[in-house]
Amino acid sequence: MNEHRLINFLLRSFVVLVFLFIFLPIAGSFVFSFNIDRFPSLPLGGFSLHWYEMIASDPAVWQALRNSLTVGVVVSLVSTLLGFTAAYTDFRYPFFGKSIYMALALLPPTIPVVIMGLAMLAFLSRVGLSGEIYAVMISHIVMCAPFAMAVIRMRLAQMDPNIEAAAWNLGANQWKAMRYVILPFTAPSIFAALFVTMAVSFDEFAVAWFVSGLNETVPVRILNTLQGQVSPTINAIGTIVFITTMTLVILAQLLLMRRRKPASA
Amino acid sequence: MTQPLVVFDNVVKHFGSYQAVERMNLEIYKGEFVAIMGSSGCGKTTTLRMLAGLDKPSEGEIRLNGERINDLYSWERETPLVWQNLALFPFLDVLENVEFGLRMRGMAKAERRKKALLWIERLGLEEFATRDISLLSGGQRQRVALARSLVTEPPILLLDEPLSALDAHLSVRMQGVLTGLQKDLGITFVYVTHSQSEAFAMADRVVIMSRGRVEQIGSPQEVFLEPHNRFVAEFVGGKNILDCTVVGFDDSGLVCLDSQHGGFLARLPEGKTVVPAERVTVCVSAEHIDLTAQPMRRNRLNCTVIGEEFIGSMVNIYLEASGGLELQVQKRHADYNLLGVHCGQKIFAEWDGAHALILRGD
Repeated sequence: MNEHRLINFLLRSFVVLVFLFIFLPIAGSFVFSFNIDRFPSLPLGGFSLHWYEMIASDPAVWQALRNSLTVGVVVSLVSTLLGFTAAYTDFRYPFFGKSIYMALALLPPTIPVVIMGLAMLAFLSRVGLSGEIYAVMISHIVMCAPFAMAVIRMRLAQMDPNIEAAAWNLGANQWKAMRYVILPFTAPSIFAALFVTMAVSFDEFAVAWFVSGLNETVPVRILNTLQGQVSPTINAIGTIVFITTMTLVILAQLLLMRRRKPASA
Repeated sequence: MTQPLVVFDNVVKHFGSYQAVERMNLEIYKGEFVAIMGSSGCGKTTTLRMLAGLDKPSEGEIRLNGERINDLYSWERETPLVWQNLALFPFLDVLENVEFGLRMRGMAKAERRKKALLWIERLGLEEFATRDISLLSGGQRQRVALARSLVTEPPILLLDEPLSALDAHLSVRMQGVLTGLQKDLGITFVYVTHSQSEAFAMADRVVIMSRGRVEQIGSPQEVFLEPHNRFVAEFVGGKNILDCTVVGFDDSGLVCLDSQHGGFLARLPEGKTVVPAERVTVCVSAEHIDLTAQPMRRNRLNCTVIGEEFIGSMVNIYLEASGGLELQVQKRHADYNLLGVHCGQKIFAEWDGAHALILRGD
């Protein structure tokens, strides 16, 4: 029995160490963003909001934030729409070539981001969109839609397929069944998809860097700042980005967990 | 004869190369309780789904009140279906589930709530009206499903094995609820089941199906007393089947038969004729066979008792005759005790020629 407890303890310690390893840099960034010193050093010099004030007064940062939010909202709406329609198609219709169709729909996350960035740059510059904000939107929609589809498809898999047919049988045509049965049932996953895709887009650096040109998103702004001068404002920006993204992801997770009721009655 | 409410006219359904329903011809009259029964894969659920508009017939025509409905979508018909797994809407409460059909028809909120509550009361669910359906018991959910289908006051109600998930006691109670409801409302019920006891207890007429084909249509009594063929006889249970060859006829009109187990007498069903040397199947009910040490009738078999089965007020006795033929005899408890048979005992099984029926078909 003592071995049991020892092994338990060791396993738990291991998990804690792994999480520490992953989050220590971020925690460090968080701590030093409030540190008055120019270079990260211990012991801490003193508490200061100076760096946050600096980024608050930097117009380039605000513009990047506006870009990231605009892109985020558009991407989340369009990706969720595309993801929903793809998930419903997969759920309801068998057709010739379906497995290839589905494989293509789920392909983007498997492509290395640098390759994706180069491909998007090449294509979008051909159609004259490179360097525009739309370029980032289009690229992100392609990359985020599969996430929306996966989240919504998972929820549809929990649905008793008979309830849609039951709605038809009770007098609802296909549009009404969609509106009164499918959408209410998948609502939590649709909201989750909106948040997840927004988080993915907000955080996405590589492809945005390739195609955004002068319309920097926040991650791109961070890199450019880093390349210019190493300033602790990086810590401040990083902390804000981290909190934003984590909030979105946690909200999405809560939505997905809450409706864990059995789907069939 | 009045016009039937529903007509299946040479309806065929195949899924690719799989023939689910072969040439179905069936008329259902207003106010009837019709049960379609058979084992899994016999086509009974497909038949029901075609009537509900969830599957389209490959050939033939389905008519409701004289009008062809093949091309009508499910939502354009008035054929609500009570699903086997109920298919209640998990995100709506009881009242919202029940009023769904009326809502789809565009009825105003106040009016549809009133109607829905009426049906909720009728089915004894008043105290659950605003409850979440996941908190209801199986029997209560059943009744919600029924209310949901009946709220639009349709001419016909379809039910797909609704009692199969319930335990025996609840099932019998629900059978009472269903028959009571059907008689009170006068609505035509089309009820699919694999349970012979359910169908016989509730239906005015039964349709027995096997592998896509209709084997027999008739009242439960007709089907039980005069099964048309071997499949139906075995399906209704409690029957013994013998393969025989016609030899001739005796003075009383019974047919003389020969078989590997000896000579027998049997009667013909109305309208059937046989000729000598024809092979026929004979069916004898388990309750018509007597066991005795001194047989006196022409129809007899020398057997060994191989088992007994106690089923409530009756006892099933299993015997084996020469050539591996197994017989089933059913006796009331009192009579069984008087007999005093035991396993391994040699005894004669005998029955009247009038109780042996030559089956119409194979």
